[in-house]
Amino acid sequence: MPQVLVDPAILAEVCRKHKLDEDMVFKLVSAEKAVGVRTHRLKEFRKLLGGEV
Amino acid sequence: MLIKSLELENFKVFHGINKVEIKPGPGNVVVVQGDNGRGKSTIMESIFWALYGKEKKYDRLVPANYHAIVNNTARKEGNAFARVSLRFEHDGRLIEVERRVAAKKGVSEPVRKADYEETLSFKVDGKDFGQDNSLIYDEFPEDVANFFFFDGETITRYAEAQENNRETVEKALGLPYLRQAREDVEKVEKDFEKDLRDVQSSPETEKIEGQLKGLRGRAAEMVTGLNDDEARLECLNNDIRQLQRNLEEFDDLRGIQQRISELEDFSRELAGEEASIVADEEEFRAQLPWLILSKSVRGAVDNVGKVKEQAVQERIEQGRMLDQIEFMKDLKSSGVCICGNSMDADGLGRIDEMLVKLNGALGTIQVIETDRYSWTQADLATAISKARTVDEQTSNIHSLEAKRKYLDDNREKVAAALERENDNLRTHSAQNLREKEVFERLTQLTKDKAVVQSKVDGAKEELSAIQRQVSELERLLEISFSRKSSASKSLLEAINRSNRVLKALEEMIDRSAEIKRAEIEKRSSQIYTSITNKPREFVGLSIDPATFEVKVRSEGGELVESRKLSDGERHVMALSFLGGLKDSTHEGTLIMDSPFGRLDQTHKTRLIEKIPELAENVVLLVTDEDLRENDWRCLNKVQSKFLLEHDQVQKYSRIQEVG
Repeated sequence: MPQVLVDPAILAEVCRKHKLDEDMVFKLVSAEKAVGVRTHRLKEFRKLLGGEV
Repeated sequence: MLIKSLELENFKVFHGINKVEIKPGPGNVVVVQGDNGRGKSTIMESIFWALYGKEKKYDRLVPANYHAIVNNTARKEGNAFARVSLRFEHDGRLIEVERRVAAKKGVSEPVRKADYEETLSFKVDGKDFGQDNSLIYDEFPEDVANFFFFDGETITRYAEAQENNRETVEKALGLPYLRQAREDVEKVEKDFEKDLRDVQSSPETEKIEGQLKGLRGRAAEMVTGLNDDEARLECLNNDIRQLQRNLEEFDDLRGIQQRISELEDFSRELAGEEASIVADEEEFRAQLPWLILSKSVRGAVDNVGKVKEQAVQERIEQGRMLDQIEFMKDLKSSGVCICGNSMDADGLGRIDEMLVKLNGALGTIQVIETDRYSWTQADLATAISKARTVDEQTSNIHSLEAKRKYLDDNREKVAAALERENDNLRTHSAQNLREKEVFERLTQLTKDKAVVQSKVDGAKEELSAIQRQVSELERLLEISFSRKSSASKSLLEAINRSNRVLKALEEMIDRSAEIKRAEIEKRSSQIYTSITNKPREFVGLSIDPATFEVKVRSEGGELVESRKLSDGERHVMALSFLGGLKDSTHEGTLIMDSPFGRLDQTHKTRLIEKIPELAENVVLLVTDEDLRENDWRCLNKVQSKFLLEHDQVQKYSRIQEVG
């Protein structure tokens, strides 16, 4: 149950400005943060940033 | 986090079961009052332990010391265990956490940490998650725990030195997670860049290119060798063709020789025939008179017949026969004179007879006498014989003439042909060659050709195989380039995207921090102005956007640094800042442990009056000195009050609710 830290309005505005998919950035900032899952987290990031997801 | 109840059993100074329950209204302030050392801070520590399994030491959470957690009295009583149960609401869900530590089975006198074992029960809306309390870490990260349960110590520390304010605020806001996300994006971006470098210097492509280079080099060498061999093969073919022509020339030569031989044979045959013809001609010349005679005889016979017929006719007309003499003259004038001694006047019958005989076979005539010839009977027989073959002889003479003509014609032709063929023979190109040598040379060259041809065929086959390999590798290379291009494109897009995400995250961090900073500044200013005893002089707090350092804003807009404030004023400022921070981050219960510190009575009173407004629920942990009788009168909305009673003999405390 990740904690959403960013104001959705800011998220939307920044994504629009930088021509980014809001859903993708939301997934990035709300990804699992526990230390033990760093490798998995980086894999998820790679998928997201690589446009696979 | 809205705390509903907290239950401690044998936790540190508390012996047995002790419970603080926060009921719904009226009032939202719970006061827990006790002298120093009776367990006020322990209550706050029990919450940290229940949530994180750690103890709070100087504003930090550290691994728990189990031996210190279990109440001494309980341990001596043989109950070497401690338990904390915390019930609270968050986001509409009821969360129940119970942490317990107990001596391991068989350990009667636990001393070391290893002598204990810890268990956790975590439930959300009644659903048991067992040991999995990851929700806690998501919703209430350890780093920011200080800011929703803060105590006098924290306030004092902030009042004295605003260390790492920005970091602290960012933690309170969860911004480190955004920074962590940013770091991870940066790491992934670096991975993309490394992948791009790897793709652009792809070992697979290099390997294929190396193989292609090797094969092309080998093919080029083979083509050169093949060209040499094919040139040699062409030379051999030319030589072989020449030798074959030579052999054909030998055939030609033999043909000429054969023709010469035939011509010579023919010439000899012609010579033989000529001899035969000459002989025939001589014979013919020898027979010629006889032939003439036989012709004359025939003419005579014809004439005799005519004369006889005429004579007979005349005699019939004249009534007599012609004189025999005249008759004979007539016969003589015709060239053939046949007379006989026996012939007389009435020899007509005999002549007739003779004529008949002459006309028929002439064989019966015995003697023919003429003025010119006096033939014997033998001559006559010969003449008759010759006469018989007169036609044949006539035919022979024609044949002989033809033969002579044929002979004459061919003799010249044969001579000319012979001369021609001999010329050919003399001038023939193979005249000076030896057929055996030519044949041996041809055999050798044919063998050489077979060897070279085999080599050429093998080389062509190998070259063809190499070309097929080259084609396959070129195809793979094309695919590799295509993949490389595609992968490079994807990676470049990913890097570009990562860059934009980094910028976006940075902007989000800055903007979120700024928004929160403004919120905290506004809220803490409200708290500050409601507590400070100089509300006209100091109109609020200012939080620096870069460092988050807190300063007091004067009426004229000037900022007053905290070091220029009194201890009490700094305490108010720190309390307001932390209060603002708490308010801007989490709703719920605020636990304040000895919050009055160095406040003077005015500030203290103002803060006490403000307490109910600081959070949805406030748990106030204070000493008797903190809240005197007058203070109690200022404190509104008190829901319940608990006293920390301490047994001096047993050395443990208990929580008692008082009316």
